[in-house]
Amino acid sequence: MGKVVALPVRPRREPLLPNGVLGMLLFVLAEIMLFAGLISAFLVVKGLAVEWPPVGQPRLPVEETAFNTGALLLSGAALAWAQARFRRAPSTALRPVLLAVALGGLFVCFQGVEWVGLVREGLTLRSSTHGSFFYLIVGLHALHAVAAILALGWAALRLAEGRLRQDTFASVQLFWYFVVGLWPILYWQVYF
Amino acid sequence: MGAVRRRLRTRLAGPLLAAAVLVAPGRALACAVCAAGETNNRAEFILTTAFMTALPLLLVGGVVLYLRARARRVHGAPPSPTSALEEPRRVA
Repeated sequence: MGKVVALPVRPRREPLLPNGVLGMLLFVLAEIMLFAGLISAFLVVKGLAVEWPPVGQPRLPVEETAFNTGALLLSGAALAWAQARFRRAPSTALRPVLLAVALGGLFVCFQGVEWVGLVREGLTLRSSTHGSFFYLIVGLHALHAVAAILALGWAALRLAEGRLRQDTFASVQLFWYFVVGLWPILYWQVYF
Repeated sequence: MGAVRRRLRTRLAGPLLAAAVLVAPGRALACAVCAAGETNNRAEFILTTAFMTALPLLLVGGVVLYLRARARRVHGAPPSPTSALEEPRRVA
């Protein structure tokens, strides 16, 4: 029989970032590159144009979208407030999370209304490069916003059941902050 | 008949391919970068190229710096590489 030697147990080091947050961070970095590529292509095409928006194409509704932008930024603030409350007592964070979901939903609904108006005015995906880029960039952002709202709704559901973990909440927050933080850049580049 | 058609196809394939390679890019002008030779958007082209080159480096660098700062905060500052060479101080 061999001699059994007890090896000293090394204390397990805590990971610097939870796996969920790290995964979301990598996803967000990839998405930043995707949007940067789209914005770059848009700027090159816009620089080539003699007139922007092209002749016969409608002007984008800058003022209405400013209100929309405000709603989205407020939803980001509501989520930051939710995080502060979550640290103290998780059950108290539900209302601000729901407020963030509602404001995000408002943003997406207003975008939909704006799109209907623009299509009626003749700005379609095929009408010009202006339309193509507008629907591609803003549509892709809206798609991300819808996905993030669904994730927030799911987080709110788990929070209501008292089963939401801090790291899960942090990953959902990271996704929403990406959606919120990206929008003012898109608004500035695409609408003006 | 089949052999003649096959021979004709083999002979035509090369010139047709060459014509497609020469003509297609001019006809397509598919990517934004193809129009970069124009003077009125050259500035945008250079600017976005620089931006797209720097962005991945900035993103990766930012994450590395953040993780380094977080590691210091969580696990404490690592010993400096010169600390082993220093003379131990005598406490009176």
